[in-house]
Amino acid sequence: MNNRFRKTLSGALVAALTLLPALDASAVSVPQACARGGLDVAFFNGPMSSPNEATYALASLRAQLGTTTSTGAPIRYETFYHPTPGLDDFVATFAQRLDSVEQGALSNRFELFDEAIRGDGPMLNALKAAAPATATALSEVASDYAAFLVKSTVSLLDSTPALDPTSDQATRIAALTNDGGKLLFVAHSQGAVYANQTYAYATTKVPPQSVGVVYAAPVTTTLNGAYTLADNDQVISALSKLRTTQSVTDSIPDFANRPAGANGKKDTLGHGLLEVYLNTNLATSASLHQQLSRAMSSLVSPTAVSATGFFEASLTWDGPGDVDLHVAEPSYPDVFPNNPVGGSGVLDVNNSSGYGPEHYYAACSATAIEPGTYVFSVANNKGADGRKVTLQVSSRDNGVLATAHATLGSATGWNPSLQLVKVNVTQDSGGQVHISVAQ
Amino acid sequence: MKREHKRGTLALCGALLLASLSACGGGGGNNGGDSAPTSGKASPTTTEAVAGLETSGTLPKLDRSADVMGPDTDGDGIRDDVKAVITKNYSDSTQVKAAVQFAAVAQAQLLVDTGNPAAVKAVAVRTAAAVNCLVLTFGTNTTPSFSDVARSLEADTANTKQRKQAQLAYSKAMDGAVISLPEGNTCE
Repeated sequence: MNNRFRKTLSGALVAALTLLPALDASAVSVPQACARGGLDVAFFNGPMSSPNEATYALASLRAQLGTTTSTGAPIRYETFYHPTPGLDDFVATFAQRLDSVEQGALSNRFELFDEAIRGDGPMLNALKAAAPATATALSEVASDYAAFLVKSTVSLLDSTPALDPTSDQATRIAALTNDGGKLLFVAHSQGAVYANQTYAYATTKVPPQSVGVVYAAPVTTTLNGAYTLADNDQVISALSKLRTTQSVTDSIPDFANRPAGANGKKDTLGHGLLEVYLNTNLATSASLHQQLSRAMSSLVSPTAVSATGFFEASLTWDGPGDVDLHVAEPSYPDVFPNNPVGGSGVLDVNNSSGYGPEHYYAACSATAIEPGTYVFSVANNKGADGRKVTLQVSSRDNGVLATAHATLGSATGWNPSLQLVKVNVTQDSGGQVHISVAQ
Repeated sequence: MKREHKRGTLALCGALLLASLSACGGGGGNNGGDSAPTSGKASPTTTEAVAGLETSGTLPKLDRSADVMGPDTDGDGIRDDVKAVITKNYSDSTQVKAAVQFAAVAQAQLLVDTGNPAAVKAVAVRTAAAVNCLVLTFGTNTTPSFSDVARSLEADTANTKQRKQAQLAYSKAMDGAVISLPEGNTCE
């Protein structure tokens, strides 16, 4: 019964890359995958003082674009995060500015940092009003920051790093394209550098028609999609004195006359994503939204290679060889290419020639998943000695949960040799299912 | 030492400060329309003005101890002064819970072992859940909006140079990460 079914599946897995889409539900209870497709919005952040700022921007983007496409397909949102290079040096400059005010009256008040670099905020404005002696020093911070951003951008443009195919982000792109989702990259400022790299990588996986890019205030000369640039963007304006930049597309009022943006804030530099480019009171927002809509409607779904579920795991490696993903479910000790159907999930993609992917998905319905610990391991089945493997585990609701890397030893056949990630699935008293990585 | 460095970098403002405490920043009533106290009385010093703003509650009274964690009497992972800000600013229990959830992860970001990628990732997942909870609780187009609340708590948490540097260390550890915005109710 089960064994016969599994042997049949096993026979089908002899091809180098095998998708197992037609599991016969009448023969055995196969965990059901989610519907394929949809749109993944990948946000490449501009200068931000923390990853949290990128998440605030992403949440605002979601509020403006919505969670379904015009055809009702789901839209998922993720930040492909990069910090602003050299920001620690700017922290020292800011500390000096604070120290300079009236014999250190503001020394070490770093709660003012974000408001000072933006030139607006309740604490900053209250302080300037009550203590005029602070105004000059605090106002200079925004100018300091503009100069820093230009320097940081030039440095980034001069040393653009290559996208490592084993990185979290490359692995995520591979997983998203394998799932058959369309990709829309939204890049702000320095994020254009990283969006371009990732676009180059993504289009080695799927046709360019499946990947769109829209830029706000791009710092690069190379673009792979439409862009919006404000005339009063002082960062790009200053950058244009050192590097070639894009032409202005829209006019916005100067700072004094500019309405607050999508976050209720203003930005003296005219460069903020929420303050300017997603500010629905400004022409820049109308342009950007039009470009985003066009890109969304023109994208074509790539061919799906794998299925999606409540959570899933994707394994890739850096060369030829047969590497196998093994999943120990709470009641099924080893789900692997020779035994691909477990109680909660299915190993639906096997690769025996090289590079991967191998892929496992748990059932789409969280309540069909057995609570307990799931352990993800790998084996060098044959011919993959020394290969570097990357395993990424993600959940439908929380995105990437863990990315693990390891170097394989000698071949161990069907026996997993390296345990890489463990996740716990729990169900609360309200019946809601949660997933978390076990430390 | 520190003072020499300051003078080198901020010579103009430093010189003005030496000459007159009120000169730097345009003292004398020509401060670009800022509403400084006038009517013949001497302007308060910045130290006095800050103290007044803290007493009135316009600026939060924050702990500035040298360690990154600071005082946390009840051991809930949130500094006592940040917790006091939450209690003062929000009365609705759902809002308080959402603010507490976010404040705890903002603090965890400063304390996480940045050499442990799994621990950093776990904090990032908790953070995304906390931000999503703020979005659900406060909304995006309201006053205060979710980002008003988050930015304010984040600023209060990373309120010293040492704490800001700890936050930057977390940012660097997140370089190249993918941060997913969760769906559904992620409030704890």
